[in-house]
Parts: sequence; structure tokens; C-alpha cells
Amino acid sequence: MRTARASDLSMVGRLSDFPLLDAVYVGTVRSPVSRGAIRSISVPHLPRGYRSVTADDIPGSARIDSIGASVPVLASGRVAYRGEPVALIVGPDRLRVAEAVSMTAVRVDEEPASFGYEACESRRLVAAYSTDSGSVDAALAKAARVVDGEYRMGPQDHYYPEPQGAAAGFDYDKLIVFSSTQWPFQARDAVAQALGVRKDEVVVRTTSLGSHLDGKLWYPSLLACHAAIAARLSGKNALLLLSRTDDFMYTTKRAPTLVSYRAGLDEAGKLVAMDASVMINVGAYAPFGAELVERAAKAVAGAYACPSLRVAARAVSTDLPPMGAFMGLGTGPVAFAVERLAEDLADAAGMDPYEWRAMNVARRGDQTLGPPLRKGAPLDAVCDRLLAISDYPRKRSSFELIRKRRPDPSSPPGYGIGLAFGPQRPATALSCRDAQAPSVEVTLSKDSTLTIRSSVASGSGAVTRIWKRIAATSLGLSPEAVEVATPSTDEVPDSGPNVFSRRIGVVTRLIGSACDGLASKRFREALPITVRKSQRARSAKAAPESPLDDASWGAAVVELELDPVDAAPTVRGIWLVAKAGRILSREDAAAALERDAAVALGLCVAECLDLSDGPADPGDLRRYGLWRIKDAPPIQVEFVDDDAEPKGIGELAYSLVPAAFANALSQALDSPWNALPTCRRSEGVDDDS
Amino acid sequence: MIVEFILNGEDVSLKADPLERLSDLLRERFDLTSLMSDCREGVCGKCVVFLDGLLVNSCMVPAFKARGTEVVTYEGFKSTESFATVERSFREAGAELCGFCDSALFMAAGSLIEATVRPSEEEIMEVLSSVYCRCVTPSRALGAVKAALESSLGGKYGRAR
Amino acid sequence: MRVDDVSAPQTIAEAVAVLKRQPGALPWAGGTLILTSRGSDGAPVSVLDLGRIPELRAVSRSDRYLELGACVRLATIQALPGSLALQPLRDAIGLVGTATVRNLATLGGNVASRDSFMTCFPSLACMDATVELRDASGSRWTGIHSLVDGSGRPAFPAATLLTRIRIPTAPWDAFALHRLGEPTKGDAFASTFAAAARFEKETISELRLIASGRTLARDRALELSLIGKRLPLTVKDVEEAQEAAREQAIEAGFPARLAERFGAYVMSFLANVQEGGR
Repeated sequence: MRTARASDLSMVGRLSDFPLLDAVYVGTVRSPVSRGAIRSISVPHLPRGYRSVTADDIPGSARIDSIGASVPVLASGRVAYRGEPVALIVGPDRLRVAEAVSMTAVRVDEEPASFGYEACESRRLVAAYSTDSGSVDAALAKAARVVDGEYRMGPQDHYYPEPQGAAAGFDYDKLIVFSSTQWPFQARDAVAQALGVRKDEVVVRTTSLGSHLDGKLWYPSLLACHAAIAARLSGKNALLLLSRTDDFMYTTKRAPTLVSYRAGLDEAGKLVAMDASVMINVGAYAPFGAELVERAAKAVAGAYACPSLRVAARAVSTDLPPMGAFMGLGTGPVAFAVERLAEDLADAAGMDPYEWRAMNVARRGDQTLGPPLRKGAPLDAVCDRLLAISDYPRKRSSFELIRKRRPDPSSPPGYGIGLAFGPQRPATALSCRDAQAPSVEVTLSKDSTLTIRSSVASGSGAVTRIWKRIAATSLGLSPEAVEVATPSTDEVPDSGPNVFSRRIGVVTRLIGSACDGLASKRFREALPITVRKSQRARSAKAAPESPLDDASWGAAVVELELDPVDAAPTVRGIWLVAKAGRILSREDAAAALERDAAVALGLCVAECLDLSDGPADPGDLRRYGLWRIKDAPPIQVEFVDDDAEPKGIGELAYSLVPAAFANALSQALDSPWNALPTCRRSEGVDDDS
Repeated sequence: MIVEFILNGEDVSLKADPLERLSDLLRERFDLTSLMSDCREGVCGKCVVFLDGLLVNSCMVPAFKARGTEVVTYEGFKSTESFATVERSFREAGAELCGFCDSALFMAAGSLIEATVRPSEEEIMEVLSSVYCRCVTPSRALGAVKAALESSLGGKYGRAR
Repeated sequence: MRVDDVSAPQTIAEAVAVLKRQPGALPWAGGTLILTSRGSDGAPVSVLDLGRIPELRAVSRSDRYLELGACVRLATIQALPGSLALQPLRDAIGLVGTATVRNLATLGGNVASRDSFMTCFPSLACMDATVELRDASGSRWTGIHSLVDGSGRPAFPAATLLTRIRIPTAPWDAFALHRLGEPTKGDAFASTFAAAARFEKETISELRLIASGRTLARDRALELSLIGKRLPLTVKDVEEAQEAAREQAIEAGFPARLAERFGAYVMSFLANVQEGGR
């Protein structure tokens, strides 16, 4: 059998295509229970060429510590969730490895497990963030109307186009790791830590990411450690591929979130106080727990001005697999909640939902989130266009008439249209181990080709084309002369994680700046010339900024109709308008938003997962309904002209469409709908046969 | 058992367990990695192949059912005019794909082009939905297939459903 | 599931002979249901591959019937001319899997399931389909309802082949097909509601109201009580029908929520019938 050096494998697109040339497969032995002390791990007799790996065999650190939590590479002593990796079986035949895994017995002294998070015991609290401004209690006491609301978003799967995995192999003294990761430098550091080697002895090459919904921020690093350890101990290339079932059951999911509000309005309908609580179920270990609660807390007021605001956001650890990011860290469920609340507040005030928003939107100078807003939230600019193209005002009035005048009040009205408005916060650094200064490099070669280097894998053809166009225009080249290097940590600078629209918001700007720098040197210095640009960290002395400054903004309208028998909603249309700075490619941006809106809607009505009684099982995967592209309704996307620097739009649809959908559904049912996905209504009810 | 069939125009013969999935055989024995072995339940559609001219989920075809059939994978489909038409149409329509489902979506589009009756929009979306994909913009995919149909059918098959 | 051996007969007679020798042999048409519902454990089975029997893929038509071989693919049925009054069956097929799965799945496989009634069954029952069964003692035609036992459970006879399905092609004036619910922890497959009606001189002349899942619910007394009634039905008749249907579904073992939904769909169907049908 041929032996390939890992460095021969420069381009691996999909992990499942990793060439098997003399490689070993890595199977994962997992905890059978959710919580307890490991009593023993009994591995069957393994033939020659096969071996087992436990925590004791890890050459370096047995934990990954770089993600705001300490996650064991392999559990040792105790297990914290069912499915937690306890050992690895490594060998040349995939089926024999799988057989050995199934025959390995992990005995655990099982302890009672806890999956609930809404009523938190203090020992389960892993992260908290709170703010308190103004006089919330006094303002609520004086308020003309007080509205209480509880809004829930359940766990959901990222359903990656390829189940997760990793591959690793040695190229002389360096270990090359292939990983489908949003954060290759984080993976590199985790692997180096686990192997007990220097960072420059490990190279991570990013494989195709596909649609990841932010689920590949840190979990790929764990798998990379497993593959790397297997490669190190076996001396061969190692491939670890989760099955779809294992990926579904054991890897990160959207963190279930409960947002509770008590909000007060004055006589005119103005928001005077808000007391908000956010509870997030982060499962075991709580990576990014602090990040989740902070971002959730800062999203609680949405786009609205509130003179007295109290927020308590808590991340609660449970005995579920680690939960986490899902299109943004912590903001999606809160965006849903605040826009549902806005509708409820409008209703309490007897106002049209748009009028209520217009009255309460945060204007320039607003200090709800602390520092004064430099520019007000552009509700008018965005919604003027949105309301026109969706015909929201007329439809809403018609549906209200149907609602109020229907002959049988016990039957739902059946028609609804909902609005949502909100921001996507600018690309920011993750507080835990982010790039010191996100950087890019550009190199102009003697043959007049330009190479762009960044660790933020441009899996998007649209973004690649934008980068090439910017670079080509800046240097007077043709776009065909520009290439984007495949991210490999030994060849590209650290641009930080591919999250929060960093590619557009940060990296694109740095590329432009780097190319400008190149242009100024081009005819003065000999080729090749390399220019590196980094984003400077904000000075500690700089005036504090509102989290909403430099946000991109959007609004969505969803119209739907209910089935007269089972009240299942059919969406008739989605309209989205965004204001996100200079749009570098309208066509591509519109296509991306349309696609995101379709996926976001699918997440509202399908993709149901109930983890309230424990982790997922294979039956849950079978029942996990997936929306198809044929299910998408007509979707119209427009942009508001804006001269500001380009901003990200990747999270907008996921923040706005669920809320607009739930607002429409609430009108169509004449009853508030405060939990997504909608199929959660039937959780546990069906199984009464 | 011995399983013999025609694969991308060539006669092949191999020993396989009767229940071994065609998707696994194609990937592992013939190194035809265009198709992915993912859900193994006919849900994701990333393993589609043409089996006697019909687009099917190869994970739902056990080895014994493949005997005597003609199988065309993406590797074989790529040499056809239909592929060229589909690939060009997707590109021109800006229907960006992520690299995981491309081959399956192209095959699905190809099956529509090679059908003898012009499909309706609903039928196009129904066939494209055989492949579960979060990356493609629905209207772009539809536009791409319609453009491909226009350029390939060119009025040759005039009958609409 | 492990397979010991595979027989691939070329004729129905050969297939029946195999079943006679090996009554436990697993008939395999498209196999889509088998592959998704059986795990990898269990005793080895013998497979009877029905894919090489041309008669089982035949489609033929007379003035009054459409006859489909049991191995006719669902996609083939969907592609049959629209002039054929097959809409209840087409609607049901549209709910099965994806287009590529329907290129493999067969009508016989959908009908002959032994654990649950699959999606096409209630449509065929509404359409008064008959099935040809063949075993060692010969062949017989029987109404599709003979595949339901006294407790409403599937009762496909052992060591028997389903070879043809015959569907009367007289059109229905009204029909409806809906999913009753999604798969649950208790039921791996979704339940289905199917209804069909014919009218004559402003009265209901024929009526079918069926719910199927793990069991089949059909209240013939209810159907008979409504036949002959003038259209539009009274509110009282519709509400009584809703309640009777719900109770029938409960008695048949449907969960309360699905039984409610069955009643609601019956009510909706009968109310629409008042408005002139589908």
C-alpha cells in the first residue's frame, strides 16, 4: 500500500474524501450515561495494528482550555454527558474499528442527571452577565401598563453537509491536520497542547466548511486532537469521521434559551423599563459560556430605547452534550424574544406594531446600552421600503379585521403578517483566545500574480470573487491573476475565527488596505512584495462604543395562512430589507439573504429536537424534519443604499425571520406564539399511544 | 456474492455482501468519491446515481439489486453534454454551491434535462429537493435548471406537463 | 439484518415456488422500507428479489380498471396520464420520501407492509382497490380490506406474494388526503387521512373516510349513515360524523391527538362537500 506524506495532501475538499493511503481509522468510545464516575474501560482483544487510546495515553495536556472552558480531550475519572469521548480505537479497517468500539465496555457509576435549565441551581451556573441601569423597579411600579412575556427557542442541529471529523498525518517533523473548522489557529493550538509540542510543529489545513451555522467554532478542535493523537501514536495518517447519527447525537447544538421579560410602558406606549432574564442551557463544560451570556445580555433591548434596563443573563450547565453557537453566539434567541415582546407591547399599548417600533426605536445619543449611540437605528430607512414591497400596512389591517370580526371566536382567524426589525452587531473579537490582531497578507509575485492569505477560509465563491475584484482593481490586475490561498496555518496569518461576518466586516477591509499598501510599494521595491495588515485592537483609552454602532440593520415581514383543520402555517411570502454599508455585490448578497431566509424559516417550522428529558437518540434524527428548497416561499430581498464600510449580513435573516414568523403566527392564531420551532408544541404529546 | 454491472460504461465485477450498499461499493471499491455516504436512509440525496437511467439514492440499493444494471455516477455524468449544460447554467445563474452537494444537485438537474417531457417548476423543485442542501438559493437553483432546460430542449420536446 | 441468500426468480411461478420452499423468505421489491426499518442485527434472512419479474412491473388498463404490477415504481404511477382518475393515489405518493426514493419505491412494497399501513394504503382503500395474492395454493383477487385484521392491524398473509393491484378508474367527485401527524417516538411512520365521495342528484352516493397508521380506522356504519343524505349536510350530521370518527380512531388505538385530528378532517371534508367538493 502506498504511503503518502500528509504534505502531499494539499487540497482536501471534503474530509470523507481524505485518501486512505495506509491510513488508520479512528473510532470513538463514548460514555453510555450522562453523568458519573468511570469505573472501568474494557477494550476487547485487538489484533496487531490496532490499539486503544485513553486519557492516559495523551502525550500533552488532556484538556482543551482555549475556549472559555476546560474540555477534556478524552474523559478521565468522570463523564459529563452521554456520548462523551472516553477512548479511541485506532486501526486500519473501518469495520473492525467500529466492531471494536461496539465491544468496548465503559462502566460508569451512574449518578442522577439533570437536563433542565430554567430554574438554575447556583452550582450549575457557569457564566453570568448582568447590567442594571436607571431605576427599573420604580419605573415598573409607575408604568401605565406592564407586560410579562416568556419566549423560548429550542435546541436545533446544524446538520452540516458532511458529518464532522478530522484527519492528521506527519510530514517529517510537522503534524498536518485537516479540519473543517471556522478557527484553524484555535485547532492548531489545541492540537499542540494535546500533543505537548510547540505550535509551529502543528499545521492545520482547512477543508470545505459548507453551511455550518457557526457550529464549527471549537468542536472540530476536539476531533482534530483525536485524529492527531491517533496519528502520533500509530505513526500513520489517521482519519476520524463521525457518522451522521453520532454527529447528531453527540456534537454541539443550538443552546436552548429562555428569555423572560417584564416591561413597562407609559400612557403613550413609550417603553420606560425592562427587566429581562436570559437562561441559556449550555450543556456540559460550557465553552464560550461567558461569550454567550454577554452577547445575549447586550441584545436584550434589541433596537429600542429603554431608560431603565436590568438584565440578568445566565449560562447553566446541564448533563447534555455541550450546546453553543448557532448563527451568532447567543443573539438569535434573544432577537426572537425582543421582537415578539415588541409586538406584545404594541398590542398592550393599542398601537400598530410598526408605529410602536417607530416611537421606541433607539435614536442617536441613546444610552440604553451604556455608551451613546453615534447613529440612530435606521428603522425608517429600512422599513419604509419593506412596508411598501410587502404591503404590510394594508394586509395587517385586513387581517386584523378578519381577526376581530370572525363569526366563531373559538376558531383561529387563519391569516397573519408579522414584522421584525433589528441589528447584526459588527464583527467583534471573541473574548477568549482570539487573534491578537486579525491579519491578512497579500503577495505580488514576479509574474504579476497576487496571492491573498487569510485563515478565514473563503468557502463562499461570492466572497472570493469580491476579494479578487478588490485586489485586482487596486493593483490594476485582472481578477484571474488573483488567487486566494487555501488556509493552512503555516502559510497564512491568523485572521481569527470565521464568525460574525468577519470575512466581509474585517478581512475584506484589511485586504483592501493591504493592496493599497502594495500599490504604493510596487514600483519602488523588487518583486515579490508581501504586505501584511492587521486590525489594531481598540485602544483602552478610546471612548467606549455602543454595541450597536457600526451594526448592520434589517427588517423582515412574513405573511402566512393557517390550514383550516390542523392550523399548520403555510408561509405565503417573506420580504427582507437590509442596510449594511456598501454592498460589494448586490446579486450575491441578495442570493445569500434569500437562502438564509429560506433556511431560517425551515428552522422555525421543522427541525424539532426535544432534549428536556435527555440527550438525543437515533430516533430523534429520524424524526428531525428537514425543510427542502421546494418548501421555500417567494422571498424578496432589497438593500438600502449606504455609503458606510461594508458590514456583515450573515446573521440578519436568522435573527429577523423567526420573530416575524412568530408575530404573523400570533396574529393568525389570535394567540401569542412564543416558542420556536413550532413543532415543539407537540413535544411529548404524540407519544401517548 | 458476485455482483456484475456496468459502471460508467465499463463492465465491472466484484465480490460483495448482498446487503452492502451500492453507495459504499462505489466509494470504497471504485474510489468514486463524488457521491457521499451520509444519511444512509434516502434522506440527504448526496449519494444519487443513475441506475438504468433513473436517478436513485445509491444508499438504498443493496449490492444484489445492482446486478445486471447500468450505473452512472457523477464521474460518468461529467462527460456528457447534459452536465456541461447544467454546470454552465448554474454558474450563469449565480446558483452558488458549497462543494458538498454540487455533484448530487447537478445530477438531479441532469435528470430533468434528460427526461423526455418538459417538467413544470413544481416538478423541478421536487426533483432538486431530493438533495438536502442548505447552501443553494432556491430561486437561483430553479432559474439555473430552467435555463438549462431552455438551452438543451430548445423546443425539441415541446410538451409541457 | 443479514442476508443468507438471494433468490432472483424470473417469473411469478418461480417466486411462489421459492416462497413455498422458504416461507420465511423476505420479498424484496424496491426495498426502501426494508432498508429504513430494519437494523443490522437479527437472524439472517433469505431474500426473494422480485426485481426481475416483468409481470410485476406491468401497467395495463381497461375501461374500468387500472392494473398495476406490485413492483411498479411510485414515480411511474405519478407519471401516468393525468386523465386517469388517480388523484388520491398520486397525492399519497407525493408524500412518500423524495423524488429519487420514489424512483426506487414500489406500490407493492408500500401496500404489503406488515408493521404499519403506509401512505398509499388508505388511498387505495378509498378507491376500492383489489389486490391479487399468490401463494402455493394459487392466486386470488381480494379487496384491499382483507389485508386488515379484526383489530385494524395489517394482516398480510405469510408466504404470499402481492402481484397486482387493480384500481377502479371511475372518478370521484371529492377526495382529500392529509398527513395526520408526524412520526413520533411511538410510531415510526406518519399516519394518513384519506377520504373520497361521489354524489348523485345532490345526495351522497358513496363515501369513504379512513385513517391509517399502525392501525386502520374506518367506520362503515358512519359512512352508510351519510350515504343517501341530501347535500348540503346539516351541521348536526357533520358534527356527529366528526365525533363518530374521533371515537372510531380512539377505538382503533390512535393517540388522542391524532383521533381529534381525524375527526377534524372528517368534519372539514364533509363541510367542503357541502360547498361543492374539492
